[in-house]
Amino acid sequence: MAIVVRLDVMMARRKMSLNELSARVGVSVTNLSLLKTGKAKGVRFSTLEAICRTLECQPGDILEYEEESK
Amino acid sequence: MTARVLKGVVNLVLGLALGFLVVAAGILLGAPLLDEPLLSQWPVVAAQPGSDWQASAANMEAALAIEQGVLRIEHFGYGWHWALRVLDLAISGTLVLAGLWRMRRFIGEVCEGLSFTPGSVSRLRWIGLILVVFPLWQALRDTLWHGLLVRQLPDLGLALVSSFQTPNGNGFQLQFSIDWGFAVTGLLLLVVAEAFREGVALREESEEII
Repeated sequence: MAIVVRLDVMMARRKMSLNELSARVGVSVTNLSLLKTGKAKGVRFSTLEAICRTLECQPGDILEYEEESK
Repeated sequence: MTARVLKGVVNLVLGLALGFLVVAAGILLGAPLLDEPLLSQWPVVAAQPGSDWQASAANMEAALAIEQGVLRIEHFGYGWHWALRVLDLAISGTLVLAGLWRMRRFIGEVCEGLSFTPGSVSRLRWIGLILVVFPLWQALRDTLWHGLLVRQLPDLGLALVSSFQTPNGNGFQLQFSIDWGFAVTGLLLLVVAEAFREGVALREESEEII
């Protein structure tokens, strides 16, 4: 997919584990793991807002657009 | 009516249907053994309507035309009539019980909040298919009965023809006793099942959005 999720990078910068993020955001570890590995089909604005608030970052720090190689 | 009440109603209907089928099977199997007759009845139409009554008043005339009736036959012992009734009970009973059982499972899933699952779609499709097949079986059953009655009853002095033939003189034509409402309801359920299939796809997609 052209949209790449950089959640693991931001979590590493903030030194936050998946379990802690899950508890503070209110999204299950399973779903966060799917999001982190890029297996999710989409992300709700409310989820993105909660992640950005917790990790003190912008949506652009988590989501990136990469042109797909043909 | 809530899903829980509906579940109770479906359970009750399933229990009644099962009880009725057991009683019917008992009568069907027991009657020839006890030398009791099995009653069959068929709608018939007369070639020439009877008009026994006529009356007139100052500004009206009335006439009674009797053209439809019921042919009642009592069969004794075993034979083709008994075999056909056993076949009818077995097939109709299976269709009714299979439909009601699937309806019970479906309503159970609705009660648990699992309406939009592949299983519920499959159950709705089966119920729809059973309802479409039921009148087709009725048509086949009537065709078999008519063929056998038309072959046997002229020996008793009754001019009887099947639904596909035209009666002459004072003859009678056998009529089909098919309820096409089942087929229409079945088609409606097949449409609803397709809508549920779309609902399942939407639910699955929604679950993949975090």
